Parts: sequence; C-alpha cells; structure tokens
Amino acid sequence: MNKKITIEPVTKLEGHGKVTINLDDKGEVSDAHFHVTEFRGFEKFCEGRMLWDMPVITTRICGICPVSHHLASAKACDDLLGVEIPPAAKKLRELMHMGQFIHSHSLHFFFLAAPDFVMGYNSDPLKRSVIGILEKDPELAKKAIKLRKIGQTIIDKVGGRPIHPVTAIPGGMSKPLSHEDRFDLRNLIKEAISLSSLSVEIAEKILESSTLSDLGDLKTAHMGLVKSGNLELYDGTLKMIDEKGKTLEEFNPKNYLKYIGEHVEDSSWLKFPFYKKKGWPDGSYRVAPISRLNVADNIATPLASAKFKSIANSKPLQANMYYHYARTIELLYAAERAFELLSDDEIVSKDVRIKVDKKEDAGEGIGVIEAPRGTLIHHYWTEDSKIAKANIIVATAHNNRAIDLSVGEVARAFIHKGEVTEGILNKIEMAIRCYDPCLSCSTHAIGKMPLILDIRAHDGKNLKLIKRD
Amino acid sequence: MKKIKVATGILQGCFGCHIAILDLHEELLDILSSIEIIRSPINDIKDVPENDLGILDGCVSNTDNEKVAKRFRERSKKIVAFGTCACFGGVPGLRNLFKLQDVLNRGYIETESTVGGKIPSSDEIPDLLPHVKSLEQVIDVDYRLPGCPPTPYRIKEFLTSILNGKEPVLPKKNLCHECTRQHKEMYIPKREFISDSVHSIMELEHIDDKLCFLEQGVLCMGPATREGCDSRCLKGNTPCRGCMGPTDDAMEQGAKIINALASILPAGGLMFLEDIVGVGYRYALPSSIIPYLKEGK
Repeated sequence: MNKKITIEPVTKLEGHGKVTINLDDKGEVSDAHFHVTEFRGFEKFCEGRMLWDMPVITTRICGICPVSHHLASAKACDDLLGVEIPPAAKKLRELMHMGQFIHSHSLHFFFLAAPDFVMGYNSDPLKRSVIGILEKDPELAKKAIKLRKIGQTIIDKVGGRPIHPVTAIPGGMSKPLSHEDRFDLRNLIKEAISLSSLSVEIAEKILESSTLSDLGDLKTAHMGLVKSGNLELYDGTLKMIDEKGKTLEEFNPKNYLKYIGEHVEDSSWLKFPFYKKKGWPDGSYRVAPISRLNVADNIATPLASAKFKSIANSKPLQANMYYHYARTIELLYAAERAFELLSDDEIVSKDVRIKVDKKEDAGEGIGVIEAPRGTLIHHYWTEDSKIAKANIIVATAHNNRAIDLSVGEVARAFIHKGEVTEGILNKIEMAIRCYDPCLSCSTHAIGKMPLILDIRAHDGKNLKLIKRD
Repeated sequence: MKKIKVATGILQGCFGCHIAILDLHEELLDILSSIEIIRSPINDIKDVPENDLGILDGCVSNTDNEKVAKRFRERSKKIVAFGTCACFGGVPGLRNLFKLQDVLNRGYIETESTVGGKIPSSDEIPDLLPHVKSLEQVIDVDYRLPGCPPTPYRIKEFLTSILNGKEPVLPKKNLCHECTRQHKEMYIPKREFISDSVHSIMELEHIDDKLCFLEQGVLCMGPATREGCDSRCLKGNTPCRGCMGPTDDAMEQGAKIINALASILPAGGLMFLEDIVGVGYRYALPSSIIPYLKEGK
C-alpha cells in the first residue's frame, strides 16, 4: 500500500513550508519534496512606489535579514540614478552588513542548529531548543545572546534601527557614525571576535564528531560574490563553479539575467533559479556559506583565513554538514571585518552622501549583495521616479532545489519499511536547517518546533498520526 | 507564582516581530521566569494548545493563515494582534492595490528571470485570498501592539502589564508629540501653498538632523502616526513612514496625513506627492475604509 507522509510545518522561508514524503508498497521512499507555501507579491505591489522608498519598503521582505534587502535596494537605486557613493558611506554600509551577519549567523548557529547537536538529534524535543541549552550550559547560552546582541547593536547604531534599518539612501547614508558610537562599537566588536572564535571551535567539534554524509551530500555547482579572489559579502563579481570546483563563469552581477533563470513548479510558491547555459534542472546550483567558501580563494582577515585554509583541501565542500562550520567561519570574518572598518578613521567621516537629483526619464538599476542566506538580487525599472517593474531573487530561492533534493536523500537513507520515528523526522529537518531558510530561525528561536506527521494511505485515509508539539 | 502560558504564532509576515522579542536579549531571560512559552511560533499545525495568551503577528493572506488565526482564537484566553501587519495589514497589504491574478502573473510569469513560467497550483500549497486582511478582520482580538516591529521596550512593558493583571496602555498621541525636531515656520501662513518642495531626502543639499522634515520640504508621516516607536527613523535622520499605524482617533492614516498637510501651510504641497497611497496607506491599507480594487472590475 502506498503511503504519504507530511511533515508540516517543517521549516520556512518567510512563511510556511512543509515536506511530503511518499512511500511505496514496501515502505521505502519513492518521492520526497519540500514546498514553500507562501507568497506576498512584492514584485507587483512595488509598482507605482517611489524609487527612494524602495530601501525601506523592501526591508519588510525579511525581518531576520532586513539589512541585506535595505542595502541591495539602496545599491539598485544608486545604480539606477548613476551615482557613486562616497567611500565612507560604502564603509558604513558594509559595517551595517557585518552587523547583520553577526546577528543572523549567531542566531542560526546557536538558537537553531546547535541544540540538535548539543542536546542530541533524537533527544527530548522539549529540551532540544535554546532553552534546553540554557538549562544545560547557561554560560554558553548567555554568550550566544551576547554575540547576537553585538550584531544588532552595530545595525542599530549605523542603520538607525536593529530591525528594518533606514539610513542607506540613494547617494549614500542619511547620517554619519558618531565618535562615541565608533568607540563603543570598537570595544564591543573585540568581544564579538572572541565569541565568534568560540563558535568556530564548537562547530569544528560538531563536524569532527558527525558523519559527513548524514544530512545529505549533494554534488552541485556553487555561486557567490568574490573580490580579488577573496570571500566578499558586500560588493564584487559573481563567480560560479561546477561540482568539481572548476570555474564556470565569473561575471558582473549586473548581467545576472544572462546567466540566471528561474523555473516554476506547481507545488511550491518559491521559484527555482538555475544556470541558464545548463538549463533546468541540470543547471541547479547552491549559494550561502559553503558556496561562498567554495568560490573564494582566500579570506582577507587573519583568523578566518587560518580556518579557511584548514578546510581548503576538502574543497569544493559539498556535504550539508559543512554548512554549520562554514557559517561560523563567515561569522568570524564578519567580526574581524567589522573591527577593521571601525579601526579606519574614515568610518566617522561626515562626508557620507552626495545630493542626488530625480531621474525623470526611464531608468534601470540592479543591486546585488550576499545576504546571510546567499546571493540577493534587486532589479528595478522606473518611469518618472516611480517603479514600473521590479524583479527580486531572494537568497534562499537559489537553494530551493538543493533543499528539495536533500530532503529526498535523507528520507531515503533513514526511512525503511515504513518505519518513521521522531528522531528521523528531525534528521530531515536538520538537513533543511543546514541551509538556514529564513523561518527556521524563528521557529527554533524561543521554544520548540511543532511538527505533525500524518501517514496516509494513497486514497487519503489516515493510517497513523505522530505529533510533536 | 504560576507562570502564564503563552503561545506565539506567525501568519504572513517577515518574522521581524519575533526577532524584536529576541531583541530583549538578556531581559528575555527575566521574562521567561514569569511566562511559559508553550508554542512558538505556531504555524498551520492543527493542534494549538490551550493557552492564556496567544500572540499572533503577521497579516492574513492565504487560507492557511485564516485557519491558524481561527484556531488560535478557539484555544487562547486572550489574543494580541502583535505588530503592524496583525493590527492593520502592514506592507503586504499593498497587494490590495492590485488584482490577485495580476500579482500572480507578475510573480510567476512576467518576471524577467522567469523561464517558461506558470502559476503554481497544487493541493500542497494554500490558496491566496483575493485581499490581504488584518487579524482583526478575521477574528476578535483583545489587545493590539502596533509597530513594524514594536520596540523591545514596548514589548516588555506590554507583557509586564499583562503579568501584573493590568490592561496594557498604548501611547495615544501622534509621533510629532514625541519627536524632538524643531519647528520654525510650520504654522506661519504663506501664500506659497503649493510649494515646489523636494520629494525625497536624497534631493536635499543638507539633511538637517535637528529640523522638522516637513519644514525641510520632505513628507513625514509623523502627524498621522501613533507615537511610541522611540522616533527611531527620525533619529536615523530619515522621515517617518508611518509604521506604527494611525492613532486611535484617526481611523484613516492616509486621510489624516492629507488633512494634516492641508493645515500645515508650508508643507501643503506635499499632499500632491506622486504616491500618496503608497506612503499614506503603506502600513494600513487593508484596515482602511477606502475601497480597494475588487476582483473582476
């Protein structure tokens, strides 16, 4: 008898997501998919809005990585208006972005991913949360809170607000950084560097004690920004490598339409980007931490560079298990880079913007940035300063296909003869969690993840219901 | 003391409201000693546990959101519309300016990067509602805490009131009341009613960080927006865009700003700003009384 298993909700991308697993008559996995079940329509309702309002409207796409949308949007505005922002403004934007990486990566690593490993993947779901860690190792939990707080404080001081910042405007920044704030942040960031180093050590131990292929081991192409060959999160060229590590393309992100297409599937509200020259689905690729380390030849800051070199022989990194380690290396880079920026006297320069005039004729602009979850693209067309069309490719979308495949791989490895335990379901969730799709952060943020497993016969009749709530 | 049982859930939103709870940082640990979070966040799971306080953020945009909202109402003694999307519909509510079919066509067929697109349709994904709604348009709510997102300070104050058995009180006045920027010429009658003011701070030679934005010729939503956000955008040297939603006595945030601009003489011209709907109603379109586009018309 055929069975269908639904894990709902498993993990999310700014909304609800679920997994369906179909079992054949022997109880083996025949088919498994990841569905994103939400759609908001920013690409339509931004039409008619004023160009300069876009950096504050598009932050509302994501409350976890609003800085990425804020900056990708501001960059698209600058591009459309043909302005080169002052160097100090560029540094302030990058500093805000580093704050975002510290907040977002530490949120994911400590609040979401670590509980599975620290408490055990098949431990009591009630304790498998940051609250469990708080009971087991309160000092570690407090350090995690501290590290994320430092990230949010940087965003607050530079961006005006920790969530949905406002200071990046076409032409630069609306305000400079004060000397006092620079002094305070520079002290805080020293602590962030040591806490990030601690995170790398924890991730290193997790990696060493885990079976590499446990959470899926796909062989895919990868894409990410690089600058002079180094890891780059704010600006640079987009590099794409194949599954063996050979360079496929390195291009100016403004030409993304030539290289990247998006495929639509009936069963997901999230589209599936692919490399156009190879077509769908062969042209699928991945983004975010392991991909960024794969496309980079080095990291420009010393501590992160040392860690990067320690895994350079394993490149291209493919196993999902590497995501957590790679994410903490980026966390360390973000903290070190923030320190560099705060040590540069230009960071307090008052020359943070240039006056920009409206563009009354038609315009087109593209802004690309590495969000914590991967490459983020904002593309606008305007008529008389109003948005005529907008195209946005969000970071997690690039990994949509890989998440879908990982779900299938892990389900096939662990589900046999129709036997499913809560621990196995969590393994499937852990494979998805490696990619850090947006909602999973919040899902595990303050409590446990609810989960329902509905095993149904092919005719829809309920056979078994497993609940974890 | 017996801990109160709290369930939190997300409808359609950006998760910023839940991140704002986390932004209490160490203070969250104190709060956790008085409340027990028995579910967070809730999604479209059928079984919402019985709870004392249901905290729901996000607007209602698809059939799943509707189901979750109704289930929460059944199982929660009190419900909080948490954040501006839940209170008024929020930014996703701008979708109501368009027909759903046009929104879908843009997303899945017309977008420049889409290759061979189609509108997704399957039993595995919920249907979108023709219009985005605020939480209150779907279920009765007991409390409202607006903000995009609410500040951690307001969240703490709100939860502390509930824990002490008191009715939470929101600040009532408009943002100008709390804003510290100076006024110089605001109420001086001038003939230049329709000013040739700039539309964006990017056009200003110098963005004055002490002077009222309306006096600098830039539209600021302060007069039509509830205070209580700590004037964060103003302190960031950018004008208010209304994310706290309207005050209690102004049902229509967009109409309120037009009214305010008409009476503040030098700023009057700003009411002819090109995108008054996208600014005036950015956060509260679903809960406004202006008729939105009906399907099929």
